[in-house]
Amino acid sequence: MSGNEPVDVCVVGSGASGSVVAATLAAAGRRVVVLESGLPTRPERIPTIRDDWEHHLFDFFPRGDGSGRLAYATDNEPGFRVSRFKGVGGSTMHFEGFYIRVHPGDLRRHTELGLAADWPVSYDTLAPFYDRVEARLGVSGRLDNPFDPPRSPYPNPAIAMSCAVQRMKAGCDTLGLHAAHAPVAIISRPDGDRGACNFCGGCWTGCLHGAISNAAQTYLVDARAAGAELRTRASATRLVLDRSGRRVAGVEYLDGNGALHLQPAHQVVLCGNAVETPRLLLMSARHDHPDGLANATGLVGRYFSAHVTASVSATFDERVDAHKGPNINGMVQDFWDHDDARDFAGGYVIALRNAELGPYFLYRRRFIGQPLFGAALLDTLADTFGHTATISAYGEHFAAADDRVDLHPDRKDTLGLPVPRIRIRHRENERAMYAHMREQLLAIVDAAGGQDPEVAASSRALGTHLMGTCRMGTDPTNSVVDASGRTHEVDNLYIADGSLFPTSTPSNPTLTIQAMALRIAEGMVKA
Amino acid sequence: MRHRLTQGLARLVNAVRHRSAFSVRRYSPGRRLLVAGVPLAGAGLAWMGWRRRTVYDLESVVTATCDRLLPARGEHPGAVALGIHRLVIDELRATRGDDYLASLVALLRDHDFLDLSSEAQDDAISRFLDRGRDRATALMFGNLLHRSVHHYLAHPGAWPALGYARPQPLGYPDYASCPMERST
Repeated sequence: MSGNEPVDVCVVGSGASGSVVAATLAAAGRRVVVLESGLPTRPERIPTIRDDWEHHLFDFFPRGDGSGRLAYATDNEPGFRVSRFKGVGGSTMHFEGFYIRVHPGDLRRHTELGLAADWPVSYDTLAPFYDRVEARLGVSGRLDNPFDPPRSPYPNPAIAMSCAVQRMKAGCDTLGLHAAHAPVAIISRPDGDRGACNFCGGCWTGCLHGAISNAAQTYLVDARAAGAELRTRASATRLVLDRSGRRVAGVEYLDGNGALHLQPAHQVVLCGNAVETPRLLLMSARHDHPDGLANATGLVGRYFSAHVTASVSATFDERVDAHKGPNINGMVQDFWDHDDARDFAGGYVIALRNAELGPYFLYRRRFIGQPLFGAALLDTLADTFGHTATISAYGEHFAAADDRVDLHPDRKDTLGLPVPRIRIRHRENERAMYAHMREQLLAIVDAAGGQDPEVAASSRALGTHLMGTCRMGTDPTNSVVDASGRTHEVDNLYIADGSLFPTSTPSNPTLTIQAMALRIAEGMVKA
Repeated sequence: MRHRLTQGLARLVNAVRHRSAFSVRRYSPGRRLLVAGVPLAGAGLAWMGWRRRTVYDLESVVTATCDRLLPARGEHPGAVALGIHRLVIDELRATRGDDYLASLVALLRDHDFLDLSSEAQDDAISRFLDRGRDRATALMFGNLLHRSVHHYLAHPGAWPALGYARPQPLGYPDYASCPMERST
C-alpha cells in the first residue's frame, strides 16, 4: 500500500455535499483532498444536439471509471431501484434541480406528531445557509407560494411556466389548489460563461449551455480554485483509525488500477450518500469497533428513507408541448404540512412537469409492444405527441429501524468489496399517502382537461432521493452524528450527506443536503 | 420449316373440327399420361420461374416491410423515402445472428409477402404481430417494428409532421406560449 502526504481534510465523495464541504474548507485555507470513485462527465457528449438524442440519453455520463458495475442487493418494495451516479459531481449531474426548502414543522415530527425523530436544527438555523446555497447556485424562483416559510427573495427570476404547466395550473385553480412557480437550480439569466436556460427539456441528460447548477458547475469549481485536489477513480474501502480508536487517521482507497493507497488526514468528511456512507462505516469494522465505525448503537444503516411517489400522465385535446421547458416547472404545496383530517401523517409536494422528451420517448412509453403500425401508428403519434403531460408527487416516508442498509454477507462488487444490501418497506402510512396522492393527481389532470389518465406503474418508493442511515441527533444513544455532523464515537469523523437526515421531510433533498453541508463545513472551520 | 408449320396447323384445325381426334380411346395409357403431364409440368415450371423472379433476401423483405410499417401518409414521409430500411438492414446485420435473418426472410417468403397487395401485406403483418397466434413470430416481427420506428423517429424528416424540432442548440424559446395561441 502506498501512502500520500497528509492533508487537513479528506472528503469522500464529490457530489452535492462533498463539493460544498471541499469548497468551504479549501476557501478557509485547509488542505483538502476529495476522493471520487468515478470519472468526470463528458460535456462533449451531451446528447440533445443529436438527431437521435433519445437513443443516447446517457452518453453524457462517465464511462469506464474502472470500478465496474456497482451492484446493490435489494429486498424491498416491489420495483424499487436505487438510482446511483458514480462520477464527479455525484447525482447532481443528472438531477432536475427542484430546490425547495423544508418547512419548520418537518423538522419537529416527534414533538408535533410523536413520530420518528426531531432534527437537532431548526428552520431558522438552516435559513441563512439556504440563502447562501441558493445565491451560489443562482436558484430561479418567485415568491408566489403561499406555503413558503419565511424566506428571502430568489437570486434569479423564476422560469416562466410552460404551456403544459399553465394547463395543469388551471386545473389546480379550478380545485382551489395553489400552483406556484417551482424554484429550480437552473439559471434564468446568463452568468459568466454559463448560459441561461433555453428550455430544451433535457435537464437530466446534461445541459449544453451550463444552465443547470450541478456540483461540477458550481462548488467543485470553487473548491479547485481554492486549491482542493479532486482525485478521481479513488474508491474508498476503509476508514483507518489511530491507536486510540477514537480518531480516524486516514482513508484507504483503491485507485483505477486496483492499487491500494492510504490518504492520511486530520479530519475526514463522508459525503457518499445514504447508501455509500453507511457502507463505508460498516466496512471499516475492526476489533474495537466490531460492528463498524460510529455504530456502537447499531444505528448505522438504519432508518433508510426514500420518498413515496406517484405519477399521472394524461392526454389533452390541444397541444401542450410538455417536451419544452425545465423538467420541473410548477409545484403545489397544499398537501405539504401535516393535517389531522387526513388519514396519514406527514405530507407531500406535487411537481408540475415538462419531461416528455421527444416522439420516441412517447412511443417507447405508450405504444411499444403493441401491434400498432402503418397509418394507424402514424395517426396515433400525430394525435398524441405534444398532447401528453405528467404530474408527480413526492411525499414523506416515515422509516422504521428495519428499513436499512447493511453489507451483503456473500456478494462482492467488482472491486471485491461487500455489496450493500438495501431493505425498505412502505407501510400503512405510506400506502394511505400514496392513495391520497393518486386521487389528487387524477383530480388535477381531470380538472385540467386531461383524458385517459395513466398512473405510473413503477414503484411507490423513489430511488433517487436517498436519506437516513446515519441520523443526526443530540442523544448519542439514539443517533450516529451530533448537530455539527460529527460522529458521536470518532472525534474527527464527520458526515455531511443525506444519510444524516433524521426524517425524510416531503422536500426534494438536495438543497437541504447542501445547506446542511455548508453549515457543517463552516462549523469545522470555526471549531 | 415453314411448310411443316403449315402442315401442323392444318392437322390441329382438322382435329378440332373432328373432336374424335381428342378421344381418349385413341391413346394408350402412356400417351394419355404424356398428353396430360406435359401441360401440367409446363405450368409448374412457369410458376417456379415466376417465383424465382421475386427475390427474397434481407434487403427486399426489410424494404417491403418498412414500407408498410411506416408508409407515406399525408405529411408523414414514408420510411423507405427517408432511407430507414437501410439503417434497419445495417443494424440487423450488425446485431442479429444468421438464424434470425434467415428466419425473417423465410417467414416472408413462406407468405409470398412481396407479391401481395398492400392491403394483404398489412393483414399479414397484423397476423405476424399477433402474440396469440405465434409468439416467436410476434417477437421477431415486433423487434423489426421497434427498430424501424426507432430509426424513423430519430430522422429529422419525420419530425415536421409531428410538430417536433431538435431540442438544441436553439432550445424552445416559445415554450411558455401554447401552440393554439401561437397559431392565432
